[in-house]
Amino acid sequence: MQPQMKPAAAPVPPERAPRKLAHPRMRIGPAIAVYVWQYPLRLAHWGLVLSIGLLAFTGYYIHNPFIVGQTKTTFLMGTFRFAHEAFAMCFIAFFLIRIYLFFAGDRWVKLSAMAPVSRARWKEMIEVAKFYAFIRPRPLSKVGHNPLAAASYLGIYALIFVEIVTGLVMFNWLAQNPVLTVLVGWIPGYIDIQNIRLIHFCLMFVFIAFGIVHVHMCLIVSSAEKRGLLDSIFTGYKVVPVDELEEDDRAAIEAARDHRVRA
Amino acid sequence: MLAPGTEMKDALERRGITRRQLVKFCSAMLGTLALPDRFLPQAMAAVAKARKPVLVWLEFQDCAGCSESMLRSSHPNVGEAVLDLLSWEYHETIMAGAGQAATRTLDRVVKEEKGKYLVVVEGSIPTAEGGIHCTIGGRAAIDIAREVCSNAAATIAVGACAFDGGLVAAKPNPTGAVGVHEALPGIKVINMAGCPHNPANTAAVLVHYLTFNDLPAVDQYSRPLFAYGRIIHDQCERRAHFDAGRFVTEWGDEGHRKGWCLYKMGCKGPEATFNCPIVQWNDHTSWPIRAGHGCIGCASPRFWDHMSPFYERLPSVPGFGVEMTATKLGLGLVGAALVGVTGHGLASTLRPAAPPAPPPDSVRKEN
Ligand code: HEM
Ligand code: HEM
Ligand code: SF4
Repeated sequence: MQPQMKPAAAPVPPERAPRKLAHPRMRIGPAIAVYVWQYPLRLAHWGLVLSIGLLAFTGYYIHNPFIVGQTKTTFLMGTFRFAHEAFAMCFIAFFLIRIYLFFAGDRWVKLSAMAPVSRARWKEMIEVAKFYAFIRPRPLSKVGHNPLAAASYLGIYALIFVEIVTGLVMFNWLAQNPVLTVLVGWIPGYIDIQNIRLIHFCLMFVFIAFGIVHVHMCLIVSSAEKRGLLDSIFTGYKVVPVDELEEDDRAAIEAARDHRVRA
Repeated sequence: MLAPGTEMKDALERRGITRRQLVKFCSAMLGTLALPDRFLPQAMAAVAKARKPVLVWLEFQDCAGCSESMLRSSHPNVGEAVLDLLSWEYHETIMAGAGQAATRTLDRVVKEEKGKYLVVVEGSIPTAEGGIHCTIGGRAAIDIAREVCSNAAATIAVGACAFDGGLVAAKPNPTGAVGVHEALPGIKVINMAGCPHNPANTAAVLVHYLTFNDLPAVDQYSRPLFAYGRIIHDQCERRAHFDAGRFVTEWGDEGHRKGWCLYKMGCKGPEATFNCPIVQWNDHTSWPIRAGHGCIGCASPRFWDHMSPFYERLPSVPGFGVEMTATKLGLGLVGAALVGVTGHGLASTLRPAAPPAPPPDSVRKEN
């Protein structure tokens, strides 16, 4: 037992004096690839990204029809509106998948793991912000989302919810569906339909701006960490040093140690 | 005007209105009410037998445009029949009596016809500073309205001002103006929103009242569903151009001359509900969109505040001044994000390489 619990020092070669390398390397110690993003989460992510792109394009056309129909048989606005509403339904489906994962997903994507509820998590969020502000040299690495990113994702999901509700209000304004009327029909009595449209339109820019900042942050963190963060949203796997695995992930830790001892 | 209690058929005959004209009028009214043909005999009987109910027309903070709209409907069927359908005892703009005599008439109606007469209210009711901004014969509008409406069989609020304050209640609403519904909660009101109300609709409500002795079905704003239940955009004659993607982009441009859709000129047809496209105005002559001007949603709640700017698709963003459109603000946000990430990215290339990772065991402590 004893030798198994303290082997970590042995296989790690001692720190050498830095040497100019043609190809720089960064050692991250013994590590293991963890399947952090199950495929439904990745499906929801890319589904949302794709549909936001298409919804923003078709939505902007609805706002400002910049192409003018020239031939006798065009159905431009009709087509754009149909596409917007069809993609909107997909968008809602992806959102619902993600909501389901908040409660039934893996430990890193659960609502409880992402909400900034404890004092410790707020402290960590400040640490993350310090890295972005060049105060802290190394990013704060986590197996799942870092706490600041997690909080911003919850914020964006809340706005996505608002976008869906305002969209459904406008949809129902024309469709007058009995179920939707019960769900959202009361809203225009409090927020006028024109302001509903305004909110729906303005949020589009918020999503685009979020996307820009979000991709930038992922790039910066990914290149500083070198743990395959950017890769993870495609493959589901993130590289995590063994010592940073969660305490209760015994099996993984043991497996990693076995592997090292045998090597 | 004829005495109250005269039977309608006699009254109409005396005015030289034939049975044929009465059938036409009743059919038009049924059409407006979206009622099937089989109600025609009933409506005819009701209108012919009606013992002219008394009607009083109150005007508060208004422009008299709704009265004008009612009186100027030159269509002999609607205009004259409506005037003859009821015994108009009190209407400030058109009655002969003035001063004390007029006030006495109103008092008499309220006393003698209690619970039987109809009230039409035109104009908003001020509530600021005890309602002193509109007084008639020394009495505040709200007092008059409370007394007259609470003793009536039913109250019909005509026009945007009586509906929800209209122009008078538009921001900043200096007189604290409100509509009848809000000023007198608990009183049975039917709202004929619109600036002005469409007299054909109001006449239809009166016919409905005479036929069924009740007001028609209403929506959440107490507006009759037959007139306010459908969206202008769905009934618009330019809708085919909307779906095709053919839009007017400038007043008087080629598209405007060809009658294309006015969406880009700020038409609020997609938001507004009303039966303008069907009933139209001035004896079914035309309506705003046919005349080449976008809809301003005049029958919608608080339309001066909510539907303006009338020539823009969307309202201005609150808190950023009138000139700030949502598009400018949004593009500014996206631009700021691009500039921000570029700056941050460039700065990150200058970031000194992170010091070598501390020995693994201390990593968790540091974090
Ligand atoms: C990221 C997601 C979305 C974006 C960026 C987006 C964008 C837009 C934009 C810019 C408009 C034009 C607003 C105007 O100026 O009038 C619009 C209209 C609309 N959107 Fe969305 N939208 C999104 C999601 C949704 C969803 C989830 C629904 C749900 C049904 C929806 C339904 C509608 C409807 C019904 C309209 C009005 C179409 C019309 O006027 O006929 N949208 N959207
Ligand atoms: C408008 C576009 C986008 C939106 C709204 C968006 C939103 C999100 C959200 C909400 C998450 C959290 C996933 C969860 O747990 O629910 C996430 C994670 C992630 N997204 Fe996006 N995303 C967008 C575009 C992109 C793009 C274009 C990329 C890649 C180039 C990307 C890469 C990632 C990565 C790597 C993660 C995991 C990051 C982490 O662990 O903190 N995203 N994204
Ligand atoms: S003119 Fe107005 S109401 Fe008519 S189709 Fe165009 S947007 Fe709709």
